[in-house]
This record gives sequence, structure tokens and C-alpha cells, in this order.
Amino acid sequence: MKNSDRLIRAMIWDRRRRAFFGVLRELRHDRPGFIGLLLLTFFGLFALAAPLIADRSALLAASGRNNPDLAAPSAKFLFGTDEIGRDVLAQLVWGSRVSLFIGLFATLVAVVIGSVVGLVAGYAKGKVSAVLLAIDDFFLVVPFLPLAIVLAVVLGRSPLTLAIVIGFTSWAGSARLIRAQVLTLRERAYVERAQALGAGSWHVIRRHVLPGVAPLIIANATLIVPVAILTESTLSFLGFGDRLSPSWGKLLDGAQSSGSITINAWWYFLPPGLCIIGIVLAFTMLGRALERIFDPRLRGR
Amino acid sequence: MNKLSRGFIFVGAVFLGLLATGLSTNASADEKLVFSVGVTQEIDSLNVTVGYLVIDFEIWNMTLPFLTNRAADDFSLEPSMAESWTGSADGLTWTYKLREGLRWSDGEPITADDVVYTITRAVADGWINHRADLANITATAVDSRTVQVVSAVSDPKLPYLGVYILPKHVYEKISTEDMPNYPADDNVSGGPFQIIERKEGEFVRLARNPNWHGKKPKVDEVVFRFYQTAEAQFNALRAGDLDAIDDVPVKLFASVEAGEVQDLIGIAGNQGSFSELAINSGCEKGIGNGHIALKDRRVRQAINWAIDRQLLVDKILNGFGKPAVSLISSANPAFDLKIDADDSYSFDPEKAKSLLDEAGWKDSNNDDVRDKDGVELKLRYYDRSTAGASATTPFITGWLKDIGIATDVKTLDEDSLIAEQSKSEFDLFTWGWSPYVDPDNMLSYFTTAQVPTDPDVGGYNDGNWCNDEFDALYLQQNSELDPTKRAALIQQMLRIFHDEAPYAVLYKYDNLQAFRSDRWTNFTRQPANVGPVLFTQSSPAYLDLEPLGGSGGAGNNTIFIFIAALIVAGGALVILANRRKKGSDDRL
Repeated sequence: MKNSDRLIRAMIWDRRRRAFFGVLRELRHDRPGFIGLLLLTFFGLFALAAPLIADRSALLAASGRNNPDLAAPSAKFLFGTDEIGRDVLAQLVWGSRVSLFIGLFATLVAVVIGSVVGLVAGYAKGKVSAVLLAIDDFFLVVPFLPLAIVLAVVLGRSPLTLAIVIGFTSWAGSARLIRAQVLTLRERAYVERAQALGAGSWHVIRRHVLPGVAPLIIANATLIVPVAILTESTLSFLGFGDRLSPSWGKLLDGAQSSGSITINAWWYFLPPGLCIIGIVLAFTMLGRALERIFDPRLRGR
Repeated sequence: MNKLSRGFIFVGAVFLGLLATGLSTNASADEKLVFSVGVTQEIDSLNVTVGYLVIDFEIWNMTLPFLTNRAADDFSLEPSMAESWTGSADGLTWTYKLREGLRWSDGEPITADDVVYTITRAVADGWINHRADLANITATAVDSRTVQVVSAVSDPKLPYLGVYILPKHVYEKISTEDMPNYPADDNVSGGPFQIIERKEGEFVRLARNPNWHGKKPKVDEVVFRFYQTAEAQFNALRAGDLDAIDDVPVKLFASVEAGEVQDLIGIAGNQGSFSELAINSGCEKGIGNGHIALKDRRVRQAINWAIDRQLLVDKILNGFGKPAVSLISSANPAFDLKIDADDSYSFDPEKAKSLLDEAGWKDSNNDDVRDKDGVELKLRYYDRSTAGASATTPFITGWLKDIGIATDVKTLDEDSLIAEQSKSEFDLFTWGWSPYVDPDNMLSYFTTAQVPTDPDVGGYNDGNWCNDEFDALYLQQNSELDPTKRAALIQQMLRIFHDEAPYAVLYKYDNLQAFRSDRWTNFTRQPANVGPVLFTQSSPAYLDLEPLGGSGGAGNNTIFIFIAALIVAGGALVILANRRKKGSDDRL
């Protein structure tokens, strides 16, 4: 008994491993997806290497004490300085952590809410489904940015609350997507068979439906990250972000409010702008590629 | 052929239409001379009994009359509604004679009744902006043009009586309970301008008041437009959509000063405006829930010693200001606290730490935050969302962390911040003041009487601080007629304020303003040479502004519109020609 259990588990893991490497292999042949993956690796390393590139103390407001304000890039400051003489590069590398953290955590929140709502709304019938769909519809039609701004103002502006706010406002689309997939899965023969053998709803969802929608969830999550990062940047740029954390959006806000754009201090606003474009592009390209891989019908389109 | 001629007619119509718009724009610009001012602060209320923002005061200065006025050059006393006045031998009774034929903008006569009504009601209802000036004053109408004012104590401010006089026929209809919510949309004016249109959050339009008794302004209209950011406002000025702006970002102001921006001039004016970090001192006669540590003045002093004011002036103000260590009570710098550099707050974190040690706040649990009796020294820090104010926050929170004080920063807009202040439910917050000319008002704000005791009413004492000695000195200076003795009393008060530290006063800043020098000239500064042009004590600049003849924006616009019309017409012709070609290709 024990042995056969172990054998089954090993088989399952083997299948998963093969599936994972299969995806990687397919990614290698998908050029945009591969470029996205490379870009992401670059940004990941960039964020991890922050302590090597710049000391955290360079983020303190008073750290620019002896530096010129809005100085152009030089050997000492590769990306120049901001309006209070702080190193822009230091803020950029440490900011990548804040932006990535908010992007990923917000996505986690959105995916968890979206998956639960989507699974339950798709699997359950009747009132439960109707209520969940009504809530989902509400979040789909409510203007996203104003809602995020209101929540950010009410709940506070730390990176964690911002991530929760963004996640909480961006799950509706994935819930719809997942529900649609669940609706088709639950009519499949193997689900019916499991039910006939006496499996409960929980078992069916966990063992048969969830694995079926997992690829969709992953691909969808990869597409939520860039939206979350953009939202964080937008909120920060509009002045609703955390003023004390150096995110990329905060850098753009600083550049704007100090008038750096008007006096053309390009080293202050160009790098964070390019980073945002880069990471959004990377996640989008990867997400689209994963969609193509998981859903063969999309291939060749 | 038919199609081609239709095309020409279309192009011709577009062309003529655009030309007509251009001409009509030009015509209306000739009729009205509009001075557009960009501001980043929105009006909180135009109701003079509740409003408190600088922008409100600017509009009141333009629309409400005073008995007496302040001269543009040196703040000296000037006739306004009153053409003359005489004082009794003991200096307690003053008799003002009003000008003949004064009228409100709606045609009603302005009489002694209006003055008496305003003074009597302001005292009875305790109006926040009238309170300090009128505390000891009663008024009676001798006849329709004569007002007698009696002060219970000798008052060094008299005969200057700079309170806004309101139209009795409008305000007598509003009950005391309704007054705080009155939107002041009657638009009845007794000043040089009257409000003719207001869109909340967008603009306020004022036109010349035809019934104004004084100097006739050259401008027909003054418009205040509200902008979300100072940068957007600056670009609107540069593009020619505005004629003047307040609150120019320092780096942009520096570029204007350096002559790098065409057609703009910058004026850095000082009238004693300052920024501070208010500290909830926990007055026992007040309400609220300030941190227990802040009741100890040594903790408040420690906060003062931890701040590098010179660095703030260098980095945030770009040098357009000076460090300050106590309340700035007057627009006149002669009243500022004179103190030895050795005695006053400098940047000394070690001294700050030893003061905190002395007060018993030590880090006993090694979490880098001081504590005492199980209470952590972690302070709520409310950051005012206006750009200039919030720039100080990362600096100050960093320095406080260095001496072992943790902060929990929350960014609030001005209304929410004042709501917290009215309940005294804060530990620290950033704000600023622009003082009057006479120190009396600013000083009165820190007496016990102004400590908030009812959240609905609030109070100006935003350090939630009370001090009996300060209160006693306030009453003394309030009735001291000898200027030298009074100045000495005020010095004493400012010293107490400095030592007791209900504020960490940060710096005095210049008002950075920029103007279209290609369109306007004669920018009156108050006081002369050093003061700002916009948002001054009595706002005289709008009466003196002169347009530059000929090269106004309107003329340029016509040329631009003409060129635009040509381009559009040309473009339309090309498109039509192409469409014809394409059409015939398709048929082939």
C-alpha cells in the first residue's frame, strides 16, 4: 500500500516535471516569450543585486547633503541626482524591489480572489453563482483607477496596503475567465465519472477542476502583474502612493513635481519610465506566450 | 468636376469658419482685459466666518471692504471706507467718518449700520477671523456715516481696524446655526471686485465692482484657476494660458530667475510665511489623544534639536528662505525672535538624544525605538498633501528615526488634516502660516482660548498647547500702547514659545511667483521691494496692474489661428484630392 502510494506520487511528480520542462522548451521556440523571460530574469537580478549596486542609506532624504541637486550623469552618479541631491540609480534599483513586490503581491491577491470566485461561481449552480457573478460584474464595471485611489486614501499608503488595494480591484476579469473554463470542465466525462463514484464537490474541484484551470490561472496571473505595476506607478505618479518608498512611480512623481521634465533633467524621469515599460513588456510577452502554450487553439494567430 | 467643386466649397467653409472664430476671439479680447491667476490651493469656504486658507483671504481682500486699509508700500494706515477718524484722549474711543455715497455692488448703500452689525455679530458669534481684532471692542452708529468704536482696554492696533465688513441686508437673514454652512454665494461686494462666476474646483471669476469708491483697476476681470500640480500650472503660464502663478516649484523658479524662460519674470517675495511641524502638546484643558511623551517639553525640544533647518532651506527652498526657530508673528521681520545662536535650536542629534534620555525615554527592548513604561515612542505623523509641505517629511522622519523616535506617516489633504486637528487627534503634522502685519493675531492663536475643545468648532491652536505665562503676556501686549514695551513683551512670548516648543518651526519661505512680463507691468509688491505681489496682506496689486499695449496675447492668437486655418484648409484639400484619386483607382 505504502509502496504503491509512493509510486503514484513519483509518477505524478515525474509528469509535472516533464510538463514544466515541456513548457520551457516550447518557450525557447516562442521568440517574444523567450525575450520576456530574459528581460524578467534581468529585472529579477537587478532587484536582488540592489545592495551590491547602492547602499540603502542613499535613499535617505538627507543623503544628498553634499551633492549637487539635479546633476547630470557623471562617473560618481551614473544616473545623475534628483532635486534634493540623491543618487537616482540607488532609488532606481531599490525602487525595482518596491515595484516588483507590489506587482507580484497584488497579483497574488487578485489571483486568489479571482480563482476562488471563478471556481465557485463556475462549479456551484443557482443562487451562489448568481450572487458571485453580480459581485464580479460590479467590480468589472466600477471604474478601476478611481476605486483604487479612494481605497488607497482610506486604507493608507504603505506598499503592502497598496498591493492589497490593487489586487482587490483587479480580480474580476480573471474570475470570469476561470469560471468559463470551469463551466466546460465540469461537463467533461471524467468529472461526471468521479461524481458517479461518489466524489464530493471539494474533491472534484481540488483534484479534477483545479488542475484543469491551473495553466489558465498561471497565464492570466502573468498578465495581471504588468497591470498591477502600472497601477502602482500611476497611483504614485498621481501622488497617492507611499511617499517614503522609492518606487518607480514615485520617481516619476518626484521628477514631475520638481519640474525636472520642464527643465529637461532627463536622467531623472527617463530611467524609471524605461524600467516600467521594460517590465510591463516582459510580463506581457511572457504571459501571452504562456497562453499560447497552454491553449493550443491560440497558436498561429 | 462636380465633386471637386463641392470639395472647394467645403474647404472654403472650413477656412472662413476658422477665420471668423479667430476674429471673434480677437474682438472679445479687446472688450475685456482678463488677468488669469493660477493657484494650487482650492478654496475651502468663501464664508468669512469659517474659511481659513490664503486663497480665501485673497478673495475677501478683493470683495469685502475695510474701515481702514494697509498701504502697499509699508503697511501703514490708510483710509478706506472711513475717510477720517478721531481718537479720544485716553485712546479708548475712536470715531470713524465714512465716505459719502458708498454702495454695495447690488446698489444698497453701505452705512454705519453695516459696520456696527458686523462688529456686534462677530463678537457675539465668535467668528474665527474677526475674534482677535474685536475681542475688546464694541461699536455704535452715531449717524448713517459715523461709527463710534470703544475698546475696553487700550489697544495698540487702533485706529487700524482691518476686519472684513459684511452687508447687513444679506447676513441678517442667516441664523447663527446656519452660518457655518453658509456658502457665501450672495456675491454682494463692497471691494474693488465682485465674484461673477464660480465653478467649484475649477475657477472663480471676478469682475470690477462698478460701485467701488477707490482707484479704478485697469483690468476688467481677474480669474483664479485651480491646478492640481504646480508644474502643470507653470506650463500653463509658459504656454500663455495664465498671466500669473503663485507657488512656482523652486527649481523652475531658479530657471526663470536665470532668464532661461522667455517672457516670464519671477518675484520672490517675503511676508513672514513659514512652515512648521506642529507637535500635540496635550493641553489638559483641551481634548484629543496626543502621545503621552509629547506632554513633556523635553521631548518636544528634542524634536527641535534633531532637525537640520539649514539643509531644508538649501534643498527644499533652493535658498529662497531662512531657517526659523520660533513663531513668526508678523509680516514685519522686526518682530522676529532675537536669540543667541548658542541658545537656539541647531542641528544637534546628540543633544536631542540626551534630552530624551533625561525625560526617561530609552530603548529598553532594543528595537531601535525608545520606550518608557511599556509605551513605545512611535508618533503619528500627518503629512499635508500639498507638494511643498510634504517635501520636508522624508527629511524629518529620517532625523527622528536617528534619535530613536519612530513615525507612522499618513498623507492627508488639507480638509482631513484640519478635521484631525480640530479633535487634537494627532501627534505631529506639517502645516504653515502667513502672519498678519500686527503680531496680535498670530500670538492670539496660541493662547488657551484657541485650544480646540469642540471638534465641530475647532480652534487655531494647533499645537494643542497652553501656557499661563504666555496667556498673561498676551493680554499685556494686547493693551500696551508703547511700541518699545510691547515689542519687548512679544519677544518674551516668542521666547516662551521657543522654549516650550509646541512647534518645530522649520523655516521662513519666500512666496515664489511668476508673471507674463510680455503682457503686464507694474506689479505692486507689498511691502515695497521685498514682499510678494499675489496673496498679500491687503491685495493692492490688482488695482495697479497695467497691460502692455499692442503686443497682448490676443493679437498673437489671431495670427496663430490664421496660420492654423491655412494649415487645416491645406490639409483638407490634400485629403479631398487623395480621396478623389483613390475613388477613381478603386473603380479601375
